[in-house]
Amino acid sequence: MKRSRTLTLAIALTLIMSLVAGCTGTKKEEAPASAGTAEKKDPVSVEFWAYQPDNPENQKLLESIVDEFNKSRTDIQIKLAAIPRDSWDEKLNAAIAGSVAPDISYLDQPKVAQWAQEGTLLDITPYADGKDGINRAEYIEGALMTNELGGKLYGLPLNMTTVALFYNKDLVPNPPKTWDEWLEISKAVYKKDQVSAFEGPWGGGWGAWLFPAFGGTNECYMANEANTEVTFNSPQCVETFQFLHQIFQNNDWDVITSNEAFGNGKVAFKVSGAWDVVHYQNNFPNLKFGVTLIPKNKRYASNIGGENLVAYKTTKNPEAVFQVMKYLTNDENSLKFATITGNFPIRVKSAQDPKYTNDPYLSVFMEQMKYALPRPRITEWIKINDEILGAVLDDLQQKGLDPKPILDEQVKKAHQLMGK
Amino acid sequence: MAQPNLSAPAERPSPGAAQVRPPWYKNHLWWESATGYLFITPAIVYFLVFQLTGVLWGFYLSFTKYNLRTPPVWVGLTNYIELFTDQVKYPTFYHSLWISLKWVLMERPGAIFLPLFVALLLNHEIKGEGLFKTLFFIPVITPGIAMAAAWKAILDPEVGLLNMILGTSISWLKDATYALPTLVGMEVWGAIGGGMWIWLSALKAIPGEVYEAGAIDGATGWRSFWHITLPLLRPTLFYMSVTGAIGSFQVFMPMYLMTGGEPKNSTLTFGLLLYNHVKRYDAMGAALAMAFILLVIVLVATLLQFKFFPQKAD
Repeated sequence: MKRSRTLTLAIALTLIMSLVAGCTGTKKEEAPASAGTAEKKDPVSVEFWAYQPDNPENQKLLESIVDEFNKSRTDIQIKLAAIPRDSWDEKLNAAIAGSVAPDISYLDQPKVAQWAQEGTLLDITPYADGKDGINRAEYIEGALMTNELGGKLYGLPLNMTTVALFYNKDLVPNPPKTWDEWLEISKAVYKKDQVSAFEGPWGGGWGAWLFPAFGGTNECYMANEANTEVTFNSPQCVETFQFLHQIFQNNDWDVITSNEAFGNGKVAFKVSGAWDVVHYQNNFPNLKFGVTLIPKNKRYASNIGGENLVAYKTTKNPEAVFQVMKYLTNDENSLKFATITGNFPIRVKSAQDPKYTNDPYLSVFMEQMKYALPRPRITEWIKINDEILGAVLDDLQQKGLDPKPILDEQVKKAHQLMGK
Repeated sequence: MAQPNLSAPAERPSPGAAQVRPPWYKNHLWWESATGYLFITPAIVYFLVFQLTGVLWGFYLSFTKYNLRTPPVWVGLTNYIELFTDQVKYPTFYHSLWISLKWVLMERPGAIFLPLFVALLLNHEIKGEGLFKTLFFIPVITPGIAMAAAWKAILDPEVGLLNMILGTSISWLKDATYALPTLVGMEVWGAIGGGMWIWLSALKAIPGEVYEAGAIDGATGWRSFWHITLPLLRPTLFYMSVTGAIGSFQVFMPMYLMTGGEPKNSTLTFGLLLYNHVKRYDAMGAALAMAFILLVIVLVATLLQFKFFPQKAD
């Protein structure tokens, strides 16, 4: 009896001990003793957080970029951490909150404005424009602009993506270049319950990310140049909605919403990114399709997505950090990061690489990048995008309601949200 | 009829009997309870450190403006007041509450009674019972991504099975009228397997003598179900109703995976709106205020169920 009680107690204590042991932190590894002497200065360590690449080849490529730098420099060493994307936000936020942020990291483009405004990011303008700075003209303009807020630069572009117009070559032998041609072809290809003109996109946050690609072709911009006001109620935007409604009228809802409508040859046009090129090539080998620039009314335009490379305000070595950022985004590495992330390079010169110029699809996307317009750098933009602009896109394009009063109302709401 | 009292403790010799107690006995009870506490200590510590502290910290943060990076700024009741009154800042607050309520009202009856129906069918020792049980349980163990692909094919407006059967061409998930009921249908279908087992075990626990006695009094078929089975299933019904409603109010995954809240916000539930405020809008303080508003709603709903639903077998 007594023995069994003692045994029970021992088990209970073991359980508690295991809990205590589990909660005890492991002692941080001591940094190896520096071999440096008084004359030899320790190299500056720059911690760089990247998304963990999705395959071992890309992981090696990422490591090779870092290794190459580390071998060539004795004064600065990059310390790479590849973080799984699933836990990226939590880890990065926790590191920033705990004042142990990395020196530099990837950052999703639309977050730059908010993070810069709240004081998390380092203003790199003085280094970018300094003696050892960058030539801004070497970066694709739209991509670089995604890093600007209030005339200051808070990062450098790492990769970018955009959308272009996919067309079915059997239905559309000669792709449209202008709105008029696009509408004319849309009317011609439409066959009730069989072939529709255009698959979308339409509403919600996704639709609102894509809408500026169409609006831009008519000089309908989401915000003014200073990013102090939203402007999607301009006459040009009203005209864009009216045009998209005209295109939409050559559709049957059940046809355009059927699974893989474009792949199955039921839709003549679709707007999407380069990811769909591989998708259609792999899954619809009989589909003859092409990619072309989004037809223009006044100018060519498109939207933009991708990641930037940013530095954090807590960094102790901003000069060294900037040198690493400059290295990671040079012509050569821009191409490598495009491969690693599956997006496109952000340097003007990288765009001339044979990988892009010789490919009938990628060359169009690369051309389209030149006209890509950055999102407004307004701190509340994601909410405006999703809940204000995105909320009315479906009705405006599909029902053909008078856009002006609806857009005026939404702009008013956006300005209220911005505290105006 | 006397029912066996399953909860009665097994008889053991009474320690209070007039026996000579060993000298260590005085400490016996102390030892026993101390050991018990030691056993539950890990769970208590886990609860206090990882759950209660998190909840209390979250409650504090719901009174702040917080983006998870910079220190929280105390704003008092602002988040709560703005959620209820600022239609510009939170334009879909009431809308998403309404969508969640619609979800609960549509999903709950289906997710409770459809599995009961299946369990009743399988409770008759039919041929191939094991096969049917397996078939109904398959959705529970099928990976979500495979189910999503299968549903996409079934729901296709042009070539989908559902439209073929109905002779329609409805875009089930892209039409604001049908999207939410369609997700409810998918959820209820997925709930059959799990619910079926709970109901089956409850049905099997009803002693055969009860039905025999009922049959003597003329209760067969529907009358037997209505007057014997259902009253004896009340504790299970109550359990499924309460625990299910708690999960149902928080629904997030089906719309996150299948519609993202679209079309036209027709599937934007409160849970999804809350998630958007954390992940997309960097508004942790407001999101936590939403979470505590939801907590109160769920609490009230649970209390109402405790008050109005019969809990005991009758």
